[in-house]
Amino acid sequence: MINLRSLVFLGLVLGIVLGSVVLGAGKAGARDADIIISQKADVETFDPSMTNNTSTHNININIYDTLVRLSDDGKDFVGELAESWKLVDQTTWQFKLRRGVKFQNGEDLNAAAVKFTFDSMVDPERKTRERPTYAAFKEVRVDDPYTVSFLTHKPYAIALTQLQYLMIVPPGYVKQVGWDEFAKKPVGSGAFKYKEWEKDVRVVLEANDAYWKGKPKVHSIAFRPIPEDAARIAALQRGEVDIIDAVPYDRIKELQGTPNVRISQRQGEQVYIGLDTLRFEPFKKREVRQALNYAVNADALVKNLLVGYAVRLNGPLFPTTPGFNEKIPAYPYDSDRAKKMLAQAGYPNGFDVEFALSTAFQGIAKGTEVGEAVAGQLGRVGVRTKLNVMDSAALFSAYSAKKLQMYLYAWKSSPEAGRHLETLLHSKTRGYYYQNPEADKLIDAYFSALDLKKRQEIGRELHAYLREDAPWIFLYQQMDLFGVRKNVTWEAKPDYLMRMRDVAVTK
Amino acid sequence: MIVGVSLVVFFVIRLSGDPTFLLLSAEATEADRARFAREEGFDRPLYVQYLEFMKRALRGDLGRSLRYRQPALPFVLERLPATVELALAALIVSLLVAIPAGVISAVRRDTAYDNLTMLGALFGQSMPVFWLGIMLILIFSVRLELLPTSGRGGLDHLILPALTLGLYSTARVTRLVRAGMLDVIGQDYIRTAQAKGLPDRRVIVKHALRNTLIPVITIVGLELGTLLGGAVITETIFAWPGIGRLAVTAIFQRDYPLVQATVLVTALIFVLSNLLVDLLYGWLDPRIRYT
Repeated sequence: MINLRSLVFLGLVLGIVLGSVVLGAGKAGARDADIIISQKADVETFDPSMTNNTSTHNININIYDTLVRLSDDGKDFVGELAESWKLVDQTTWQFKLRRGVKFQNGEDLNAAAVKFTFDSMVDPERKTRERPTYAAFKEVRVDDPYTVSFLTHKPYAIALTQLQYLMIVPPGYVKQVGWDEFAKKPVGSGAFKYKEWEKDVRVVLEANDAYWKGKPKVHSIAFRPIPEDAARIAALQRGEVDIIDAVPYDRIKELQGTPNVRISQRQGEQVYIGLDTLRFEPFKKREVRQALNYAVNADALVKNLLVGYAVRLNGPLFPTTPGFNEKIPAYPYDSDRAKKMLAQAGYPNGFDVEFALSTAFQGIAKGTEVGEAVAGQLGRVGVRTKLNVMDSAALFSAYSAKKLQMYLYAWKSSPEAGRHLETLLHSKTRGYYYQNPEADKLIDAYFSALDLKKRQEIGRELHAYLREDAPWIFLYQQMDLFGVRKNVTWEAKPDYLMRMRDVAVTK
Repeated sequence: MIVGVSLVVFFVIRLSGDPTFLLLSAEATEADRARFAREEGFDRPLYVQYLEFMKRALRGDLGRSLRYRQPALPFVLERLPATVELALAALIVSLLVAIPAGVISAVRRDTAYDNLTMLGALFGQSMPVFWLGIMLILIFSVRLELLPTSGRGGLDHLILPALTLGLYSTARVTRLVRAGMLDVIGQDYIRTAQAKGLPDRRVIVKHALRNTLIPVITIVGLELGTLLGGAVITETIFAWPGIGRLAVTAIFQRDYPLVQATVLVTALIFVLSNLLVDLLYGWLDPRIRYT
């Protein structure tokens, strides 16, 4: 009796499993597309206004187009949908649009579509996530069907930087199906069209043969999310996928040793150690902050922990930021000098400080190792650090609650514009740990200088000033690493987006 | 129990950090974040938020995911088939291995085979899932090129994750079956059966195993609950599109409604699988009656 019943039970279970396997098997092929890209995360939404997620942007940029894009050297902008642009007056940026560009549903891409995109982005009713990025813009004006102007509240030198991520959406289609449906079945003007999304498994896009820049060289691309680094790398080595993002630094050597795989890199996060110059007594003194910069051996961190995939920085500016001054020396490693300076500042026996970090905060590579190395180096000059390792969200909560004394932080958004100088160091924006009227004045002047020459001049002055005032311990800019199969033509670009329109496979 | 779980998860996830920095662009100002909190209702006192949440939950509305901007409950349920498929596969693998292994171990007690099996079970129970999963990928996918590295698709996609997930259960059930069999083999009715001159094979399968299975069913039921909820690591390693992986993503992103929904669904599954076991009892063993 029992045997019979157990058999029935077992049979039932087996049936369910086999059934679901068979159902699943129909959908899976060895290859979903000509090119398969694997990122850590899946797409969140196809509505570009509703997400700040990099993996999602990387997918959406292949469906939509932008007005301008960052040039490949990361220092200038080139036209995409915009054929040309000019500053009409101090606060008006006028764009001439390329004619004849159509959305994938046949709709015209014109000035009205650009205005619709911007208006819906900043519409308070929609509560879009990307709204803060466009805070500097007052409104968008349609001048004629193919001319559109962006008006800023005040002279705003980095308008193009902010606009390079504005993906233009089709007003007719959105009005017809509604935003919720649009977010699931998008229509853009980009090189690829939406075909299929199986959540957490794959997004498949197919070539848009009518693309205004010429049809892509491959028929289809797919994005396959694999959260675990080891599994993502294994999939690349095996040839199941062609391109992967976020290669961890400790796997570089191994990938270099894999025959069919190469590494593509682009400039990534600036990593620095923030100091509480407002509440923590020792850090109120400039000499102490400078001493810490002498005490930390950033070159050794770059060489040993980041195995050379990073660039030492001589201040808070990125090498691509206008006004970056390569003649300013980085703080040399000099622990004797650091000790002397600490003694002069009234701390001959050093002091205790809490040092907060999160292992992979904002993409910091080897966060814990870097933190431990820095703690060791500071220990040698008498600064006793208590390491406090948290997760990213907890670190940010403590950071914005102004509870940290010293913290490992990273920034990579728009380095070519120096936007972080305003966000992180101006007292009016995020003056959590540093407020300095002198710096404020220079930053204000820097962002209202519309003439590039003038901007570079002020930038150099700002660079020198901040290096001297040392609100942070300056470290380095690390590289973002991608693994690519050798038969695939694709390079990482400095605008942080994975555009696939030129991707090709060589046999 | 479900209410208790909801209470714990609601408060713990909120105490653990702020979602705004993950959700808004890096340049968001203080004012942007305050506005976001207001829009999502995070500025109200916690107990008000909880009551609101429970009121809606009772109507089956678990809120909208902050990140995916879609209703949280369907989002979780969509991933249920993948999780169930993996859990059942792991369970079947473990039963197919564990029951024969445990029986033979008990019958050949203290032989080399028995010792080896018990050693294997010890390893199986103490091997970290994470390490095991990555090792399997490296050996079977990268070196031998036999199986796909990750993802969900045909049967071949299922093998490695099922092995990884099932190993612990296999070890546990093997030990249980062995212990149960040893217990039963010493009983009078087994000796009677042997004395009647029944063949060993028949005594073991018909008389001994049958009586061992009752406690095994209990464990299997509990195990199924654990497998369904505990596939977090396995699903993440193998990029398996199930609830466990969704939970991890949601927790790291502090997607409150989504975390709540995944935890509640998992808790519900756990309760249901326990209930199922209790019902199975009565069916498998007519002596057990619930009054």
